[in-house]
Amino acid sequence: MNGQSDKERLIGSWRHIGSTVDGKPRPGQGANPRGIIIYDAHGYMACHVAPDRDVTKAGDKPTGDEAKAALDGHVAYFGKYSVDEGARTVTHHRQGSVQPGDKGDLVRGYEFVGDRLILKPLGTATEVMWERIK
Amino acid sequence: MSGDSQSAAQRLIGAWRYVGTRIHGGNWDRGKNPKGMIYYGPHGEMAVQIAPDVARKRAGAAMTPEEAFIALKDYIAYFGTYTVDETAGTVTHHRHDNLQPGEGGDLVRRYEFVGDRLTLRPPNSTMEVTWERIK
Repeated sequence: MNGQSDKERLIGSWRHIGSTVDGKPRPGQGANPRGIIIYDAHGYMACHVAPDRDVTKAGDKPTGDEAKAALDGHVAYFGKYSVDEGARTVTHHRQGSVQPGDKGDLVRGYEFVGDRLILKPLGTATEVMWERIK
Repeated sequence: MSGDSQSAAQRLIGAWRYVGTRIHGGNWDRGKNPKGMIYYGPHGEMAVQIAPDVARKRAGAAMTPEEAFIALKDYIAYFGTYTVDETAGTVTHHRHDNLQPGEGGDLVRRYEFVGDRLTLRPPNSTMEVTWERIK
C-alpha cells in the first residue's frame, strides 16, 4: 500500500461501520445503520447512510409526516470529490442531496487504518467509520 | 476497450451519470436538470441516486413535513448488491436499504449498451432510464 497515493486508496466502495460523536454512537440513526460510500476513479462520489428503523407509508405516496420520518438522520448525496493530501482532507462537492436546506461542499479529514477509512467532519468530534468492500 | 470481448457484467462495472428517463415515449418530468449516478462495483455492490431538479428548502433548523415531502418526492436513493443474468439480459438490484419509505426487495432491469450509454428498462414497462459512462 505504501506506493499508493491517498486518492488511489480512497477509490472504491466502502461499507458503513458506524458513526460516533465524542466516542459514543451517533444519536438518531438506530443500533445498526447501514450505508455505502463510493469514490470512483474519475472524481465522482456518492454517499448513502440509512438509519436503522422501520420507515413506512400508509398510502401510495408518503405523507409529509412519513417523508419527515424517512429523512430524519438519512444521508444521501452525490457529486464530485477532491483530495488534499497535504491537509489530509477529502472534499465532497455535492451536486445532489436529499436533505432539505443542504448545499455546498463537505470537508472531511481522512485516516486509513488497515481496511478501514475514518472520515472526520472538520471542527467536530464526529467520526464516521467505513470498511473497504472487497 | 473492445465491448465485444467483455461480458455484460464487466461492462456494467463503474459509475454512470444519469441522462434521463422516458416513459410512454415521453420524458419523465424530474425538472429541468435532474442529476444522478448509478454505480456497479467489482464486488457485487451497487448504489443509485437520482435527484429531481427542485429546490429543497428548509426555513428553520428542522425541516417541516411539507419541506420533507418536497425533498423526498421522486428522489431515488438505494443501495445493495446486484446480479447479472447474461442470458436474460437483465441485472437485478437487491436493495438493502431504500430512502423511500415502504419500498424494498429486488428490482429487475433489462440492460442495453449503446456506445457509452447504458439503458435500463423495467420488464413489462415502457420506462427506460438512460445513463452515460463516467470517464
